[in-house]
Amino acid sequence: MRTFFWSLVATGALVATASAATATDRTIPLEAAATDVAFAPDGRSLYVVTAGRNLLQFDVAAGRVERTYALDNDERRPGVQVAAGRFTTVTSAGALRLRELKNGNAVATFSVPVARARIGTVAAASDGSLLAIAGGDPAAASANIVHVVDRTGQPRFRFPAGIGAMAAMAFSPDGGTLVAASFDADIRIWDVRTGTLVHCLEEMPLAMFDLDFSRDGRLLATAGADQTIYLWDTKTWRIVRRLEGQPETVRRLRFSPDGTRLVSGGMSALDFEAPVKVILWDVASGRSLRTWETAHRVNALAFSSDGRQVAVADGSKQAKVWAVPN
Amino acid sequence: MPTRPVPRREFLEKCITGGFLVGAAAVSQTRLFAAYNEAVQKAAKPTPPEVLGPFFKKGAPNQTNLRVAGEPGLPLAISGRILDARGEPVHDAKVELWHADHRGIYDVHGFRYRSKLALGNATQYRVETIMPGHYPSRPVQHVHYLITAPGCKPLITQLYFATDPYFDGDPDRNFAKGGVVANRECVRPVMLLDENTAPRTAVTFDLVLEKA
Repeated sequence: MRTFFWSLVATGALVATASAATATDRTIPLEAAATDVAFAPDGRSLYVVTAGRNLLQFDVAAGRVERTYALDNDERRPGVQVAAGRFTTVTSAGALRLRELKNGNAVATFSVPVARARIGTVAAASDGSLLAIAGGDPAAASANIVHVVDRTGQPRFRFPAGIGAMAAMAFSPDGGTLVAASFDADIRIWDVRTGTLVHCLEEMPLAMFDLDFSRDGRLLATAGADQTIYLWDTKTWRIVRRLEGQPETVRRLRFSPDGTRLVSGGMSALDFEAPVKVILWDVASGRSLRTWETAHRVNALAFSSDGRQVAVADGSKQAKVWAVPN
Repeated sequence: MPTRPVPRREFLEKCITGGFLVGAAAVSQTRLFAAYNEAVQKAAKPTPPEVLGPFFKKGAPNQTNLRVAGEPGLPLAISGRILDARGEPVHDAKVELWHADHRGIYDVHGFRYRSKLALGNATQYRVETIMPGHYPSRPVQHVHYLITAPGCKPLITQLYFATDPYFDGDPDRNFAKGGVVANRECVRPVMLLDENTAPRTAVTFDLVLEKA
């Protein structure tokens, strides 16, 4: 980390203000659109990474930015993997870089063989022991591959992954399963202990844009262009429930830590800068409990560890924290 | 496509390195030379790949008329050959194509402006559709393609239109503007036809597949 800034000074515009909706709702103005958000395990801080190459640590209760870490100029697309205490960036040379959340220090930088050195979607196991990295297959122009590597970049497996770029990937909470949703509309499920493809869910006609496991690993939620959230039983890999009502493409979704709720965020396929809905769902009944609105398409969602707050980053230059109704 | 005469020495070297001289004693060098030149001139550059995009939908019907009665849009005919990299026609190809409507909206609930052509013995395709619209999130008119054929690598590509205002009248210079279009070869000229009726357009887009 070349530069370390304290609080608001260096970025100038990082003054946080509380919105009027409830005592704990927050709006965080940013110097660039946020690409990812994640709460610290203690729930006190929210990490926000931006397209402007900054990592902010935001004190939710105090409503102010505690620290800002500036990334290097060659880094882009930062994503927070908070459970492992790290976050990832992709360098312009096509390498993946891991940094510590607590001090911003780079702990590893490594490359994987993907076409034109363009790393696509990245996912991390919850303990940080494994990373999945998607990209084009250098040997076949219209094919894609997923590399599974350990935290130092040592390869474990290399999976053929269909013909579309990868929309989203996630490890199961026990770290034994990797699920990947491709723009070719198939969902592939690999056993990362044996390196084998165990299922390919082909029944979805349209691509799923995001997916998330419930914390107990029993359910997988997927959603995408058809505006429906699908809940899959991860033992049978059958759909057990559909949540309908998002008025746009579903771009992001996350389970609450106790698995009883789910939050989804939209995207206008016509205009990424059009306002969209963020919906809180009751998983058991499939009913929507609360609807918010964001200015632009939703880039990231996160629940706090107690499930009482949800953070959202959209394409506009702000992140928000909302109180979740009981 | 290279058309320069191949020097005799270079020709022989190519034949030797390519293993083509086995059993060639009974064939005159002149005939060999002619066959080689013919192959070189027929050879076609594989169509460059472009991204699949997020709105691919499985199950599109095999239909050549994609126009929807009552829907606005400039009529557009798209046609082309399916070739391999030697310039030979490819049989049994499946050509899947999809695009947004005149407003720039993809049909995710049905199959408007989506088709999966099973060509069988035909080695050319043709569809009647409309010129796709622009949309702010990807402000260039385009048609998505997914082509598969036995013995060939699948090809994902896109067709763009040289008349698109996005290129400011100069696709050679502006095709890469904004990082939206990866390959100039995929930006095709548009023929404007007006046969005393409403104007319509036509585009030719050959699809050249690589051997698997």
